[in-house]
Amino acid sequence: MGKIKGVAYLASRWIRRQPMWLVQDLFIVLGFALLMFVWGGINGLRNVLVAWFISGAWGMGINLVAQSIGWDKQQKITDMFIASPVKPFHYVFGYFISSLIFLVADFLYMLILIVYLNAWSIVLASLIAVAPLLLISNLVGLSIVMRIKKPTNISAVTNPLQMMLIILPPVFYPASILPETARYFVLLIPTAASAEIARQLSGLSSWHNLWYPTVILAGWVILGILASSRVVKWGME
Amino acid sequence: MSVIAEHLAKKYSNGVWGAIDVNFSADKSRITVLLGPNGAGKTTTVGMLTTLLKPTKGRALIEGYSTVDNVWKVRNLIALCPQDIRVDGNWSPWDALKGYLMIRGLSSGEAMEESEKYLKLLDLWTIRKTPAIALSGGQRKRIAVAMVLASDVPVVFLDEPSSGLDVEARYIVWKSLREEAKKGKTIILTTHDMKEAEILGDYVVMIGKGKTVAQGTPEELKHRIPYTHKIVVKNARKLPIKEHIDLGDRKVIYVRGKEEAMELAEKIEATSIGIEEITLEDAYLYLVGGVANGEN
Repeated sequence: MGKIKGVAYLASRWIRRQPMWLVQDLFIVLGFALLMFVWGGINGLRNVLVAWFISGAWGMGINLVAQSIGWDKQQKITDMFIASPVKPFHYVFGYFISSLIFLVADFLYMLILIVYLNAWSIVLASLIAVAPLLLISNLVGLSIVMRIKKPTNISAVTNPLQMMLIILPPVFYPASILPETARYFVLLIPTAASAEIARQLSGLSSWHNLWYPTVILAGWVILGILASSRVVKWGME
Repeated sequence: MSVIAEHLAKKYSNGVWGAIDVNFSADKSRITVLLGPNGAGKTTTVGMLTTLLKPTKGRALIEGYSTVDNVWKVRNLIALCPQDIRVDGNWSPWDALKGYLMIRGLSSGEAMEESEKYLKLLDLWTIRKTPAIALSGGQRKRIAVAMVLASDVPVVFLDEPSSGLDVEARYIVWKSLREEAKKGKTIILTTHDMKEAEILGDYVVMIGKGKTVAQGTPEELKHRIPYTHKIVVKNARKLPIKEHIDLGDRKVIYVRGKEEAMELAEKIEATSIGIEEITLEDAYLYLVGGVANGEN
């Protein structure tokens, strides 16, 4: 546990030094809530709650954890950790814990909305749906950054990937508005599949097919494990 | 012996050999310097000793444990300051040491206490709360050195710890390394700086083209070449000897004994003539580069 705490301590220093990132997050949450309310009323607000859980979980792995680990690798800090009792699990989990603050902050920002809408069932459904997504985003993020050789490419690759898979597929809007054939296609995207699970569990979706997005997420977990295990090496190369 | 490297060799996936045949042993309470030019195989050797790299051939033992068969035992016994380490800009010196020591098993309180000692030793105490991004490259390097020295491990590896440091900072690092060696730690560092090897090293391992070329104490290595002195001649008008090293307007002549040097110096016509004792650098050039040997 001490090793995880140590990694989390070091990994969280940037948030302590740059707390304005959390303030930026607040404005994004507020802005999207406003937008969704203006266009979709109360139903829009309920959907934005799901979207924020999915967006937070996806961004955490693909962006926060993966970027930080990618930078460590470039700055040779990873080599220091390899030549120590730290195991890959301690290392990745330490980063994961330190990044949780963003999920917690988002949750706190949404709390007024959750209480106002009495949307605890959406919160519960979203938490169930984000659990596999967190794993997928971390695995996919790691398998991407570990392949990047130029440090300047880390953010250049992970930032657009994060945005693209949150804004384009049905995360902020329900997949059920799409024609059924298109729905099967877009739900191949992990963020969309996860959002759909949350919506179906909380009754926000008019579609009743929990198996399909669940199988897709399971597939992504396996794919993520395979892809990351090929590139994430802890010394002895 | 605390560290043993036997016929260590490493072939990278691109087919390039990073090291071909490295042999040496390092003992407790001693600073062992791996000395060699860029690309000689020093960092690859450190990589194999610290479990970053798997040797293609040979074996390495740390405190009796194989770096291949007992990876996690070895990782508990070592600390590494990598070459070109760049401490995270958001870490203050105190953050860096505290976090790293927590990783190495100390509680938060113990880590704070231990950090204080090493921040003072490496002259980082007054800037302990300043984020690394606001510090110089040398100060950031000293943070990394402090992190590994503060670790309660028997074997410490430092890959070019003083590169990029100014003279004052280099002396601070050297002093701290000597103090840690005195406490019984085995310290292995790499450098291509002859002066550093001569002043700091108790034992020097010369590596050239991936192989151990020579090893011994700095004094032993100096005695391994058949010369005792060198004459440095500036702007020679008359040089009554063919064998010399040509450095443009300066020539270096190696001689056996001070009398021979004085005798020869009298016959040379030049702007200035200096007679100096052989240094580790001369031994290095002779043993590794083959320069003094007339090969260049």
